[in-house]
Amino acid sequence: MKQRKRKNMFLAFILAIITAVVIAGCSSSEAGKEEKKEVDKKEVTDEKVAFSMAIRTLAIPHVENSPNINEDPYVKKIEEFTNTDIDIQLLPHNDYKTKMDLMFASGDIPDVVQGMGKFTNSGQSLVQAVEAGVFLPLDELIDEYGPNLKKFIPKEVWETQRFTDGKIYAIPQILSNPSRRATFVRKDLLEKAGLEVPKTVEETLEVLRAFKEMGVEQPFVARKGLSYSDTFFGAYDVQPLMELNKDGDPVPKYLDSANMKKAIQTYKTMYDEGLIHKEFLTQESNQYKDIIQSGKGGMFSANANVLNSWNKVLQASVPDAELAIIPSPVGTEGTNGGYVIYDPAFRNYFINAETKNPERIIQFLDWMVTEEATEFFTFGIEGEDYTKENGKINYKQAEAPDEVNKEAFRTGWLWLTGDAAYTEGLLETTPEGQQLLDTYENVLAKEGNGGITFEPPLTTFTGKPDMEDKNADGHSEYLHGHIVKMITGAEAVSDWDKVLEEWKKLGGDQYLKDAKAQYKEGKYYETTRK
Amino acid sequence: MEDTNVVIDKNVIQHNTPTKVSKITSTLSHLKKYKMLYIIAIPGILYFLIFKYIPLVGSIIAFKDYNIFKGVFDSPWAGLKHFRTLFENPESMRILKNTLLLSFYDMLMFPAPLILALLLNELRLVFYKKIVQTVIYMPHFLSWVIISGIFVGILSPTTGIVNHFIEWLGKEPIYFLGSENFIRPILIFAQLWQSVGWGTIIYLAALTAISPELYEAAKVDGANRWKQTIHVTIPSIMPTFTVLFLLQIGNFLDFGFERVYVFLNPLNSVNGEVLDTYIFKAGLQQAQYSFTTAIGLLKSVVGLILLMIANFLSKRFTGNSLY
Amino acid sequence: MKHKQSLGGKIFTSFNVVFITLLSLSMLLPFLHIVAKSLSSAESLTNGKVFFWPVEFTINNFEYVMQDAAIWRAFGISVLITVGGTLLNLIATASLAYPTSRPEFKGKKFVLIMVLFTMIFSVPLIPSFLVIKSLGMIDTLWALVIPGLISAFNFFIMRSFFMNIPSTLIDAARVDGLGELGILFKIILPLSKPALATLGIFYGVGHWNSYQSAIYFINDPRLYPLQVKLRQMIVSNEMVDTEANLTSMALSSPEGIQMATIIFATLPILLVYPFLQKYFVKGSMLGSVKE
Repeated sequence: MKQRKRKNMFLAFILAIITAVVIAGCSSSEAGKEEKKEVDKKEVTDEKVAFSMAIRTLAIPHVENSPNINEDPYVKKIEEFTNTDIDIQLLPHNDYKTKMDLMFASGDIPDVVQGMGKFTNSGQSLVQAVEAGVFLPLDELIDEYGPNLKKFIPKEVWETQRFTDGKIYAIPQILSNPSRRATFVRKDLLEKAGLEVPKTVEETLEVLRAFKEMGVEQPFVARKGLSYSDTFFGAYDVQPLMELNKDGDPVPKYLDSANMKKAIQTYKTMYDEGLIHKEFLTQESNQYKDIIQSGKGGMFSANANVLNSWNKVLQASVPDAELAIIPSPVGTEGTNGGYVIYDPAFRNYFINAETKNPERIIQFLDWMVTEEATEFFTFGIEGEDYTKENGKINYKQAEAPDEVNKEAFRTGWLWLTGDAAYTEGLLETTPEGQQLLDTYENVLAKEGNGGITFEPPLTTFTGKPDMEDKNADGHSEYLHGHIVKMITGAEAVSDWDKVLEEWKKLGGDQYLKDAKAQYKEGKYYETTRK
Repeated sequence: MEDTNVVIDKNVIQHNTPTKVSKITSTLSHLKKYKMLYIIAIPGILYFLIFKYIPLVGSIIAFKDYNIFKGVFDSPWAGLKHFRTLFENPESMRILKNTLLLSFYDMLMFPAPLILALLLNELRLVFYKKIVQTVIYMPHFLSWVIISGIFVGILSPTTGIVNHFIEWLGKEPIYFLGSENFIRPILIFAQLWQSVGWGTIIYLAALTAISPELYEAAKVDGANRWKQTIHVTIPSIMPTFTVLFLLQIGNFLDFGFERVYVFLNPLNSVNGEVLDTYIFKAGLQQAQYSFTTAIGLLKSVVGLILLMIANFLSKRFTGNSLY
Repeated sequence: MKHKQSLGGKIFTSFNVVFITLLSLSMLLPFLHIVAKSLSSAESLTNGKVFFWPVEFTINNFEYVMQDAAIWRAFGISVLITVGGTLLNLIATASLAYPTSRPEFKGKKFVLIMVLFTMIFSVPLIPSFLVIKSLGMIDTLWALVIPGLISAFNFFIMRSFFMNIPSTLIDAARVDGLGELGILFKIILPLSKPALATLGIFYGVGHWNSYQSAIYFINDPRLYPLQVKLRQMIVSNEMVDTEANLTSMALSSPEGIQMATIIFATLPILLVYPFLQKYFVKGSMLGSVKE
């Protein structure tokens, strides 16, 4: 009898634990309550306010290696400037999306949550969070407390932060020059060959042929997925972007069969003549970088801002070498050439609806675009990173890896609302920097291909990941597969129309219909040149 | 004590048709006698209940449109929608076929670690054997990104050693990774290379458990090394092998996406894409927790069925089984 | 060795030695390649000159890795969870494997199927995160150890080892008045050294190599184990080519440092196996008891 009693007690004990855990586990998201706080225009406190922020590390070494980012002198300095006590919670770079989902599932949501520029793109749950009322609508708060932000951030960028309910939910970090990628050439080789900077696709091929004759191992450096090597899709304006057709309906640019065939044919020619590596399909990004930096590449595409640092590395092994950014080649008359234009917001910041001092958080982000803050984020701490003489700043250029990492952390990560394209003040301090600024202004601002972006994204291809276009990173795997087979000769370029027919049957038709419908509803925005 | 033990057991056996009361009392006395056995098992059972079974309830999101803010129970039901999405995708059949084929080939490779362990066992230089053992389990510590880098290098048509050899034979070099014909062998071989040494660990441990007297007896009977292996070693190691084999079958369709993903490109994915890489890609799209859970569930059910069949057969024919 | 080998035996032995040597080489060379790279200059790496011997020998890469305080802390965490976690794993696994390996344990089948089921059906991430959170383990090292306390796979292996231990031995111990716990710790475990060594390696290497649970269940970077650090470095960061990211990468010879980090993170655990090998020999005890 005693035995049985004990057994029962034991069973009850197990049951109790299980119920406790189930209840705790399933009623997690208390933050998802519908009620929203009234934004009353109370007096802003002068007291030191404390708030927490969840920010992705972006794989910045100084952030990831920091023993405690909240004790970092630059973070301390910001707290001093703004009279705040911030608690930065790092989200790992590689698993950012899952980590965001877990954060929302746990119900412990910091006062500020960083997204990747849009509502989507930041894990599956950010949109659900906005719908569930986790975040504060910011329109009025920004009007009231963010005068500098309003001035600094262009209207069209604000528009990208509007949710389907018509309210702004996030403060964006702008990307002032959305053409981040550029066409690079080995200027010294070009001069040696006695050739002009090529403008058309034909001229470019001539240059590459000349490079090949000079013994350049990879005249054009192409890599896996044709990522960062979509130069010639850009030249014919057939990158995976949406444009309006003659009926005013949005269609993907690769439906333009004539130009698409020309673009594929260009790659095929390059492949057949050995102007791109025969194994470009298995050439990963690090090999691509090695090829370029060891002087074995003639022409390639990369982010414009790497120009000066790559030049340095290259010249260490090939002293006479010089990389230069040139205007991207143009295929058909009237197109721009260049690369897919990025979304105009790089990161964005959502504010928790339950936070105590949202106005102070806005002011905190607003401060970051003031002159005082610009000087701080650009040059760092006076006496340590720079000295001032008669109002003139003498910046100690970063040389050692640690200094470079620190500079990158300060300008590219900690400066939450600063321009994500480049740090103008810093570029101005060196002649190479000034030249790069000039390139941004006069070369890159004139090229690049924009298109229509749907927000929220179309769901036609849910469960068919191979059909989804990858924007700046290339055509959908399905199309890319056919493109590659055409380049290597396994399929005929002239079959592109057949591929498109097949594509339509596999869901492309529905995709076009869905795009048309959502376009009519106005749930989209357009990316354009600067 | 020992005597009573035996007596009790005999009693239980002898009473072929015990009354209910006596059955209960005997059960109770049994429980009392071995209660420590049960108490020792409790923490482990609790562990499985709390850390496995409670979260497993969350798998019902496979039949829902999971919304993190609504939680597992309040998210709206979606029925079999996610399973339908999978089967409506014309690519699915191809992916399923690849998954089944690759799983099958993996199974064929299953005895490889055992064979290698037996070969190692035949090495007589103890010092050399130890070095070899340490070396062959090293690949287990390399991440797949690095392993794929190694394979891309070795198989490269211009610089790879394999193609140098092919050219030396007077044949044209082959772009192995750029062809759908080679991807499956490459995937199987890479896995074999990575894990065969690691797999020997357990067999080597099992080999040490074989009584030397058995070998002595065999020697007396005039058995040579080969016969000893056949008649002593293999039968002794069979139970371990069967258990491992059954466990492997339970995870029949699991590859771990990384192992496959790092080798795929558009020219070979026709024959290389498997469910795990598909789940990974689908997971990158929005709002896919329900969908990926659904595919996972499907995989598990297949594994369960196969395991039950295999366990039944094994019990029937070899007497070894998992449960 | 006492007997003279037959001709066939000799041929087999030589083939066996050659085969195993070649196989080992194929597994050793990639490691040599990594070691060579970690000891070469950045320039020779970009130029692709390094194969199995360092070019322009330098220990800069290792210096760079070792001067990082964060990596030493991560190393400490990894050692802690590997040693502590493995001990807990072995005790927990044994304490479930022992009862279920005994015929006296009724309801064995139920427990076995229950365990087996969890091996086939993987636990979804979010619910398991919530369970761990509700137990207050998030952001503690317990979250890296307790959720994986007993692996179903290892449980079955340990159980099959235990089942080979003759019942007579256990019954005799019971006669001597030893309780079940006493039997487990004084009879079963000492007799199962090869099993413990094997599963110790399985669990230990699992702990050492795991990064996912740390990324999901730990928010404080100070508690990250070594593999998280390694992964931060190796997995390509193509998605976000921020200015900061690429500039810093370009100047710090990433490949050499990556390779040095791999060596730093792999060598300690590689050294464990040779050390444990002696238990495989001692363990032949078990066989002599069995008759």
